[in-house]
Amino acid sequence: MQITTLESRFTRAEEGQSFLTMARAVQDYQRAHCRMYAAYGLDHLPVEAFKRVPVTTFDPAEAEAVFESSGTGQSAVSRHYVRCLQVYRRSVCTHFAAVAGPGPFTILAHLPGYAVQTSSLVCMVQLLMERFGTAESAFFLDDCLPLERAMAGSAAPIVLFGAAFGLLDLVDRQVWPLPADSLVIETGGMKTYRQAITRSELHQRLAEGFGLPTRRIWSEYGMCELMSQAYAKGGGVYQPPPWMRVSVVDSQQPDRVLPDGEPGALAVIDLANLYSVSWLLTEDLGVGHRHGFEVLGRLPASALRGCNFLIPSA
Amino acid sequence: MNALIEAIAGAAADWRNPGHPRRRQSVERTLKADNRFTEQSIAFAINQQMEQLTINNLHNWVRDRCTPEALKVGVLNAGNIPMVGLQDYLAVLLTGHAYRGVVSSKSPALMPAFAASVERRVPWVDSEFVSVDQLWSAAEALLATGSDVTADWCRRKARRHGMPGDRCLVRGHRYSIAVLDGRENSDDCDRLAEDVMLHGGAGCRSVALIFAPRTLEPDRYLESLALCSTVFPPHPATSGALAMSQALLKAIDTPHAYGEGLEFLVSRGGPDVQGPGHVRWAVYDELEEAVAFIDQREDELQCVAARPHLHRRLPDCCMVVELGETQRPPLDWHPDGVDTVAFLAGLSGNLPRPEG
Repeated sequence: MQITTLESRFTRAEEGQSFLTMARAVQDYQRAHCRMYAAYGLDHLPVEAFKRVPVTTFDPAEAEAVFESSGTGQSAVSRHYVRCLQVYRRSVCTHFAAVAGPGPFTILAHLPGYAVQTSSLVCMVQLLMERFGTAESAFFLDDCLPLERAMAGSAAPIVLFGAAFGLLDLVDRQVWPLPADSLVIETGGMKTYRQAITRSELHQRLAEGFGLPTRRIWSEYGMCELMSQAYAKGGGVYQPPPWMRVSVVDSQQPDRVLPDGEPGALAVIDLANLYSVSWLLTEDLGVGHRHGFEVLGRLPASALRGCNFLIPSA
Repeated sequence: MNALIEAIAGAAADWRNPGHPRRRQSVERTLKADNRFTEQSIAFAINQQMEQLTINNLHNWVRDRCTPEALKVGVLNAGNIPMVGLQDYLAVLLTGHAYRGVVSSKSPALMPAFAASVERRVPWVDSEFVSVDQLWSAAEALLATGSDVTADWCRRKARRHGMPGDRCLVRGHRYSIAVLDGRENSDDCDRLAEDVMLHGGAGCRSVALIFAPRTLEPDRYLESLALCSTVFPPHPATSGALAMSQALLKAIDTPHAYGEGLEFLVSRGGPDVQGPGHVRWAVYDELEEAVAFIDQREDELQCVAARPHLHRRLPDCCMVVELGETQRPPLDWHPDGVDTVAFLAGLSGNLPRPEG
């Protein structure tokens, strides 16, 4: 299968043979054009590689965009060289339309650092605004005027994206009763908040703060190393798009897939990572469910040395 | 308390014999559990701890620090190395509390078997191993050790069950480091190897990072690692687990060395902690760079191992020990810098119990 064919067809990947056929074809292409991945030799590449070297099948100087992780403390920053933003646009928009509908929406984003050009999350929301957003769509932080205006009367359903801690700060200040057809989508970052809370506690507080039922509080799972996202439509179980597969594996033996309910590292095959590497081993701790996966937290190497997986569920 | 101390010391005396039936049976069960323990690492962990459980050592450790009001203390035992929860078990009982322990599925047999040996001598001791659910319904205080995720979960569960925050001692995940100056002799190298290799790199006291002068050749340290892997052979799964790390190092052209059968992996690079069995060799130009790392990462470190001559140049903020001591914690050591006995004795005040 040619890479151009894969580029035009990846969003049509379906369960079963076609996904695996495409996944192997993409992998063959990536091994042929990414010397580092070829030298690696195994399937799932640890995302740590993005912190060390350019993970590309092309000359990084030709990248249309570079996504970077925010990085914390002294840890190195991940860099994802994006050859073709059109691929990212198709992945982002196709899946969003599948889960949220065709729009239009008034898309509001409360994302600290939204001026940062290297944020894949900011880029994702910008693309969604371009594709589905009304003229009222906007980023905001301290000045909540865009949110107030939308609440006063939006021409379309409101979709509010926000980092978990930022949204909590918003609802701590006051109640923002959104129209019943609104969606709030938290994009993670719970650990940054004053005190770690469970996802269900977070969603409960957001539901109360925005005057919505908890089923209208969604979560988004993504990272700069991935061109696709998964959404949890209320609750904590994420569902990836058809061109992305997430499995839970033994972090020390990634070829050992764990049964549902047993915590382990999240391993991803993202066909939209066409020009980098699709088979990735994340540093996230998760647990598999029949119809998706749950994210329990981060899985740094140091934790593995002293880890105690007692937790039955988050 | 004297009777309890005598019972613990008596049980430990029995357990110093590898052929003691209860010890032998629990070791056999442990080896069958889903873990990376080996016969040698289990024997080391048991022997190292049993040697210390003498009447004098126990008295000197607890020093009559008892609670005036007994509570049921729930203990969530980590399962990353054999018998890792023994100190908590002893501390709970010797401070006069009741023990409600949950064992990890990775190490389900050793602690209950040793507790049974103690109870045979003092049947009145209030000690029980329970399920996680039973623990939450029974416990009035908590000792727990685990990853950040586990720690968060413990705190939340405790809060939900109405347990005051000051009755919870929840320890996070930590690691240990070694600081070399190049003057280590062959014994020092061998001792360092034990710090690195003994439990396959698992556990907060295993050395995960080695700081070394830039000009120091690692060869003789690597030889000691190879030698140690013959004395304490790693679990058969270790090489499989390290294969991915080695493949990545190779792919990104990071200098590294490994045992012939991939029993260990040492990579050169920045001071970033890698997975179990994979040690990072981080170089410094001035010792102050290692000192700065220790100062900045104090909350992440359990021990810093170095030759005694280096100790005075290292920060006193965390536990500085000699090479070869990280896997040999004394009975009175303070995990995460917290005195467990003082915590338990202070749960309801800290009144000395009269002698006798």
